[in-house]
Amino acid sequence: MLDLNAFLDLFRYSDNAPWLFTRYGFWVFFVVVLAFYSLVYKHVRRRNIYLLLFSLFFYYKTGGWFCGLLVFSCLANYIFGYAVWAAKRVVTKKIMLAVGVALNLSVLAYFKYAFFFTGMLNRFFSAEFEVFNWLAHGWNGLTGSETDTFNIILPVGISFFTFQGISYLVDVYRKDSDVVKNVFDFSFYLSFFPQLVAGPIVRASAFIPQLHRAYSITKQEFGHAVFLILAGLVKKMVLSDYLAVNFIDRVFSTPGAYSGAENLMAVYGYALQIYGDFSGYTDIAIGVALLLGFKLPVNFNSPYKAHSLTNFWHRWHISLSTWLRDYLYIPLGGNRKGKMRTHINLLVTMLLGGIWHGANIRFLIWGGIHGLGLVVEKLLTPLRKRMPVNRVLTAIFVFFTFHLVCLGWIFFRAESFAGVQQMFFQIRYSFTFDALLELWLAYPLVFGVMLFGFVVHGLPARFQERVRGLFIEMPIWLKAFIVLAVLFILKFFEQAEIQPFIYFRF
Amino acid sequence: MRPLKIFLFFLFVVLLVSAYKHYDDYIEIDKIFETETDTEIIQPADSSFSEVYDTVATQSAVRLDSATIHKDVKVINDVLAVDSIKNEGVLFNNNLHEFYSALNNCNNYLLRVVYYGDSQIEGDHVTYTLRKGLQEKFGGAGIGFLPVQMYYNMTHNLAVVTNDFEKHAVKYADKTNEKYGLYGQYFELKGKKGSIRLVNRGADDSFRNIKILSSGFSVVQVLADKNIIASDTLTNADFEIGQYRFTQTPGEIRINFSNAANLRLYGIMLESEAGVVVDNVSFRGNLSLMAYRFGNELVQEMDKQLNADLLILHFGLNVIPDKRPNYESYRVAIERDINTLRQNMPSASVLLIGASDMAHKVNGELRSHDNIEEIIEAQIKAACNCGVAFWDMRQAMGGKGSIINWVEKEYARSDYAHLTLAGSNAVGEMLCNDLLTGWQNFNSNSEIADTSVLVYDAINAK
Repeated sequence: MLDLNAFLDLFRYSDNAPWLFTRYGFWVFFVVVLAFYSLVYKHVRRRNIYLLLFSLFFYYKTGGWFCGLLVFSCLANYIFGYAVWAAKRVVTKKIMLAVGVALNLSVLAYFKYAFFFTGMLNRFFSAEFEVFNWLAHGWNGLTGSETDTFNIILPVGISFFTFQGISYLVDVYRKDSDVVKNVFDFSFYLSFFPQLVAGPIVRASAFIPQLHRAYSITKQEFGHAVFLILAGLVKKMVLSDYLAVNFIDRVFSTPGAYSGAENLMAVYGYALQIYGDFSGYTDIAIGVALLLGFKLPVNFNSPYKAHSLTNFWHRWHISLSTWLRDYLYIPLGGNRKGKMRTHINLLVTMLLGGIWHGANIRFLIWGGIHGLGLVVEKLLTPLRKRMPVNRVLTAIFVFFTFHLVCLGWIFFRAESFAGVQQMFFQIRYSFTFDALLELWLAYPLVFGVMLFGFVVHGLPARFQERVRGLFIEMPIWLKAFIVLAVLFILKFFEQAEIQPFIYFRF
Repeated sequence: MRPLKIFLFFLFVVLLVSAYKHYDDYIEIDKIFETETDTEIIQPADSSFSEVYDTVATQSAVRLDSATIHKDVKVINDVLAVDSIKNEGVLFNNNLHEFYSALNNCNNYLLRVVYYGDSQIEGDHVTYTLRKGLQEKFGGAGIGFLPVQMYYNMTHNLAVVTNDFEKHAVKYADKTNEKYGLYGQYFELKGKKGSIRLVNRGADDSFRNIKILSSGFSVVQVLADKNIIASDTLTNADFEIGQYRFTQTPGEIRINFSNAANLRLYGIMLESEAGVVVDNVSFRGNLSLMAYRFGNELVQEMDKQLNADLLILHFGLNVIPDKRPNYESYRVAIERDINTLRQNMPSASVLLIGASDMAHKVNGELRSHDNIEEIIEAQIKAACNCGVAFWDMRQAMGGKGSIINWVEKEYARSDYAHLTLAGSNAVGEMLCNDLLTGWQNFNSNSEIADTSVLVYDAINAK
């Protein structure tokens, strides 16, 4: 007999079983979306509303009742976008833009930084302010619930939809994008489920024209989408989750208990883990969106092949770095106001980029390392231009850049400052090459996976493209067979715990 | 390409995966990949033993009514525990009488607890709070044993810095007759001279005493905060302790060795003159201690000078993934360890710590490993057979499956095996609490008679 409650559970949010791309539940949901998509895909308006409803349901399953906040964000940005567009005078346009952006930022600040800023205030002024969750207080008043008012939970993906909202308002103001006159169309842009919770950050100017475009997907695009989804799953479940649970988490939680070699390998491993996690997620997002007929921007391009920090940021989380460039660095003055200002702008942009990742001094240091690195690189540009371009030198630059990025990752991942200190201590003082060899013998699969990750990452782009091309050209039955074979292998890497995507709450 | 075709493609894949998942519920596909020995059927734990164990545990354990210091006990009992059976304290508590009696006299003598374990205690885990609790009650300061290698004790903010020694520790594959000594390891000076630096970055302990455990020849110079406090010569080819005192706890200690020949160090100790000290001696990956490979004569000699009063054995974690048809050979290995230790250190009491809870995923569901019960049973049998005390860590954690709650509350790490600092602090406090309760009961003569014979009979009747 059908258990009604179990059936209803499918539609309820559960803390323990959020919908992640690596969960079986999500793919069942996706098949259901596809099942009815045939009925609506020819009619643009119906299609957009259909996907909007599924997107809101997806957000509810992932983030619970915070989908109310998403709806609010959709409505507010729609209204302000319209107001910016409709205003006749430039001053009014500017005011509307400023209020809209401020509203977006204040929502983000409230959820993300209330504790951080209160803590700083208390530390500097020896005050004893306490954070009070006014939203929960109001909610309790309305519904009689007993939500904790001294705790603020960060809604999933808040940064991403807030950034998209800001990009829309600015693009409309700059006339880079048309205003969206239909509220459902706009809400669909802001809440399209593949990229909703962890990016890529989709620019209004790139996505809004697609809202009105008819559905079309070629066989090649289908093959490309399936390939991206598979690659994303392997990156997330093998490179990220498997390495995290079986090696990296343990070392970062007690660095002192591990040798210098282990600590160093954990740092390298984390570089691979965060790449696998984040780029794996966006690969799946891009693939899923493509299957529904929407093109999302590429977000990662083999970042550890970068030969300079500037080059790294052209390859890592491209949608964020270009967002920061267009909506922060350039409005600050970019490189138009002299060398000094360029350097300050770079540093400020990276520091803010750091704090965006989390309200913690460690993220600020991470941003500082990248900001200062970029400034130093800019200063050394004339010298570098005089150097010959050859493979050996490029390899040295790649090696150096990778290690600078890894230095940043230590601060990014460590659990505390004592942990950072301890990690440096172990790497500096208790590193032996013998231990490195011993490690390989002790964790053959972990290091096998790590080697596989770095080798695949380092393969020439031409070769990677050839593999992708081969897959795309395969007959559909062979594609299905390969998909199943990969899923079978992934089962053995599936770990005991649900690993939330690292970027989920950024 | 039309959406219908894409739908059919994904429907096909999802249906096959669903069928596989369904099939997987009946047949554990993991078994295909297991080795021959793993596929042998694991004997289910005998329920009658569990019943006897519960009854005897209830009768013989010290009561927790006078529990005093542990702030986490409540959290563990109320939030993390999954079993209704509460932690029963130290089993066969009467086997610790000599230790309790020593506790009563340690105001004018240094009482030593040597805590051997696997990776569960690495990085001063568990021992940190146990030491702190005992030192608060009975006095004493310092960390005790420190290995002579790069080492950073996060909880104490104390670093050992040296590159001049090579570590040799007891290993399974080791067939040589090496003399490793009481701590199962030694550190050989690579050349004729070398140095060790100890950096105290704000340790809260007021240790006044450093001991260098050595064999072989070397001239030694000890500097505290760059002032020479001692110059000495180590000469004993078998074993000796160089002991040096500070007038106040230094921020940095430097030990220089020169003109050395065959110098081996067995450890450095930072401690006080009296009170309690707890040595943390960890062997990552070990199934048991392998004390029989330590070198009996050397252990005896070291014990004469170091006077161990309580030996704690904390192993079992690495046995859990190693599924066997039965755990008789494991029991024999523990008994061999205990007997060897007691033969070499006759005045020390022994406490065996039971295996902790550990979970894995079976058909997508987190479950405690089935064999833990049998492993704990083998450990209790060994404790009975050897007449030593036993502390059931899994029961203290909250019983079968409790590790899942521990991971959720960040008391354990996401491998569902190792504890976080918070978790190991909680275990250390619980253990300390139970030892203190045992000591109180010993002093008030309120102990229930020894029931190990009863357990022994129950086990052998199986």
